[in-house]
Amino acid sequence: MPHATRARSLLLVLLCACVPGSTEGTGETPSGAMPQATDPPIVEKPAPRHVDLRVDSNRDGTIAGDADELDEDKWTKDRGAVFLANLDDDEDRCPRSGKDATLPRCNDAADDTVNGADDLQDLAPVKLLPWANAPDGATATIDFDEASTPHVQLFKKTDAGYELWNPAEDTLDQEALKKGQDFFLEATDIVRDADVWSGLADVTIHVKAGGEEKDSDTVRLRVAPVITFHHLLEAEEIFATRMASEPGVSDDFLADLESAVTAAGVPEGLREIKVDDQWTQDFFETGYMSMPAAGGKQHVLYVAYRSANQGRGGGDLLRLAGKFVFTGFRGKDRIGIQQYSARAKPEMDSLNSFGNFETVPPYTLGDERYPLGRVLRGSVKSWYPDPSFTKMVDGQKMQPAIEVDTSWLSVGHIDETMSFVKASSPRGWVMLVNDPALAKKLLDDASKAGHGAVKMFVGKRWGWGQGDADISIDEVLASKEIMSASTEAAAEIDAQLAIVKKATGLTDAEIIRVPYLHWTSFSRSIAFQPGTVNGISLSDSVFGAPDPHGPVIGGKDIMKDHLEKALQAHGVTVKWIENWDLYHVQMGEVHCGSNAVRKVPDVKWWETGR
Amino acid sequence: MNGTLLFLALGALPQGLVLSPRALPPAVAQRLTLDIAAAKSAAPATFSGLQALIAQVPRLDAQKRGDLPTLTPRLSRLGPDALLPMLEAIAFQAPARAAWTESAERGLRLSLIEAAGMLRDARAEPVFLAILASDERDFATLQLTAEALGRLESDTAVNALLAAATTDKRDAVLAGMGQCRRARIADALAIALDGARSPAQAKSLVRSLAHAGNAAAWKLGGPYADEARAVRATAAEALLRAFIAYDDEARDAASNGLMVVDDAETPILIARARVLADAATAAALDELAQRFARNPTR
Repeated sequence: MPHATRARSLLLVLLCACVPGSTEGTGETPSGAMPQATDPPIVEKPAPRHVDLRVDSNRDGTIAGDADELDEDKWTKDRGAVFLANLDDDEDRCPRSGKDATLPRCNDAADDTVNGADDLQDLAPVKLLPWANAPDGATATIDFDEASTPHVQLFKKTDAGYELWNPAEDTLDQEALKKGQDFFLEATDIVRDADVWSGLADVTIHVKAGGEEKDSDTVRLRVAPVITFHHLLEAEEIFATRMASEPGVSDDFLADLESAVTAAGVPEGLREIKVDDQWTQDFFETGYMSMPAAGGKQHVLYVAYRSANQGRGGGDLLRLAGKFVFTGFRGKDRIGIQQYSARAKPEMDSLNSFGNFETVPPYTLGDERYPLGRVLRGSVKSWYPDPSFTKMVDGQKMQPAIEVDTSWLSVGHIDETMSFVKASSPRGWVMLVNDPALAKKLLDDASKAGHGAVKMFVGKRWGWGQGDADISIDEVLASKEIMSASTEAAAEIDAQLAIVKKATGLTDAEIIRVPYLHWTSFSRSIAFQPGTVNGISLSDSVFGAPDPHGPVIGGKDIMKDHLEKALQAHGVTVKWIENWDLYHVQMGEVHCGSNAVRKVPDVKWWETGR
Repeated sequence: MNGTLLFLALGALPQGLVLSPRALPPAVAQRLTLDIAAAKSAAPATFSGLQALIAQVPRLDAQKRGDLPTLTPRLSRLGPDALLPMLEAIAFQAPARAAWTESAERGLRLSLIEAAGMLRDARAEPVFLAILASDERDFATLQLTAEALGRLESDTAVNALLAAATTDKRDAVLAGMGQCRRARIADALAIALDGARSPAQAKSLVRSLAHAGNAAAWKLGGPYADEARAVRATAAEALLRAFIAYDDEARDAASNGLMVVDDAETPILIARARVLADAATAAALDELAQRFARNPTR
């Protein structure tokens, strides 16, 4: 509102507050309707003396009365309108195959039309109030601030439908100014680089008459950030790969996972993805974006980031299976997003997999609140993921990243050593952390108790019948490779943990130590035993973890027993999942082979102050 | 077969995956050829087993989670009998690998070197020496070869590693030679760490030195157990100097290294260093002392 004084706008609010009927809006219109278009016209009382754009500044999901007028040109924790990057495909028009370069280009913001009633729901209303005193011969233009101009589209409602507004050419005449006009705004992209576009968009109407500017009004909106799901949110749908060229090799894993998903009561169950890439966690990451809807609700678009991995699976550039975000995930209210730099370092490519992208659950530390949690990644100055992807994630500004060193790991993913589950504690969650020293102690104790000859990994094999995996406790304890790698892993994990503890304030009582040993591949560390941290939180009370395969002493698998007891104290049951052949021997576990869409939290991002 | 005939036969042999047999001293090549032939006759299953495993590499490559497919865990669990089949593949006869990707081939090369080294069998020493002396310049190949040779811990290995550490292969050799838990190696790594040219190089050297001083490895003994005290003391002192010299990843790595080495003198070293330290470093040293007191590796 560059021309109008604060006093003038407040006066208008006060005047309108006395007028019967200038109240807030009603509930969210059911899907399929066109709510904004059918809202009752606003009757101005008294006739405004200036041109007046309105957006949902008070975030109640509607534009009605004058409650949206105050500070409509600002964006703060308390006020400011929101709009969405309209990248979904409400009418299922986009192709289910294509090249990396072209697949992302198809979405509902990629054309100059409103793609049906569902699409309209994804647009933010912008209303020009009727202006009875519009000057004779007045014309008006509407434009955007320079930074947002390439990233926004405005649609004008007409009797025939919706027309894309061209800020350089389109105008409104005096008659239109007198009658008022409905517009709808969408972003054509999310924030990719906050230094280029912060996500704020100023929409300004300029009124000219007699060759001079007579009036103007500006409203500010912020594009919704992408927020990734943390482990505490209820799973709504679980994903896992069935290997396309060898479907049978996935049978054991999928059967156990499905059983765990059923036990957890996941509403949409397990969805199989048929690709030749079993690392379902790695090639996409789920999240959402949202804007206020009536009744205190959120209008949500679900998001799947495609990993920035390059040169995997025979894709034209990016990891082939990642096309799933466009070919299998994108649809009504579902968005696929990719971001990569062709100059990213190939030797660090594994860090771009989303096993190396977790979200710490919400917490408060001192004066700092993280109600949507924080991203947790393996990244240090000398070993880091694709910087352009990191810049995009940082640009969302909602879940500031915690970074730890995973360069000592052969695969380099944070899910190899850390995870989170719900807990009956003041914080509401606990952290699972791999503890190789604890694993050694358990085996040492077993050996000293006379069980040194007990075998682990019984019946398991390292490579399609080529190597028997059976190994005794004493053999493990006598292995220089395993013992030295485990010692080094213990120190590295402790350093990771120190960073997370400092960032979150976690206490030792809030950390569950999970025993398994490490060994070496290509000079770096990998889990020797199935890494039981590397599981998936399926509900508040079910955690799916890889079967560690012993050792079994006195009828109990001592590794299973340890984790079961630790989680039982928090009301969480472990469902054991067979993943030796397809995952463990190839340096991954249950979490690496699964993914989830989760329930959107009640916390509204626009209220977080970030 | 007499020596001349064997030499002629060697001339006709195909190339190994990493090395030509001609890169080996003739006598060594002769002996290994005979050993391989005898083993192939006595235990053909080990050779065919390795071949079957190698045949899986393209699939492992297609399904890899990290940057390269790895066979190291599988190969190292095949046991001592797998050494000669692996040496054959490395230096005498590369396995058939039509239409393999570059990453599949690279993954196999590195896996064979690493797994053969983990067997700690002196029969592999000349092969590793030859790779180290070859024109090979690939960092990972040289690092893993240095590790493999280092695991043998022989005087020959020590001399070769120290010599290679003065060549243009220096960085890769230094990064790998910490697997050689010998006093002269620890001394050389300590000197290199003191003179590191960058934090990234320092971090690499810190990790190598931590391998050398790894307390868990030393607890399992070995032929040079009498050098344990010297190696761990040298490592601890150098790691502490690095901890003080850097304030980034290299410092964090040095802290981890000190935990891994777990030398009993560490608290005393920290206390001494603290006397001359500025306030910020003193505070960091205090944290280090606290961490060591509850050393997470124990």
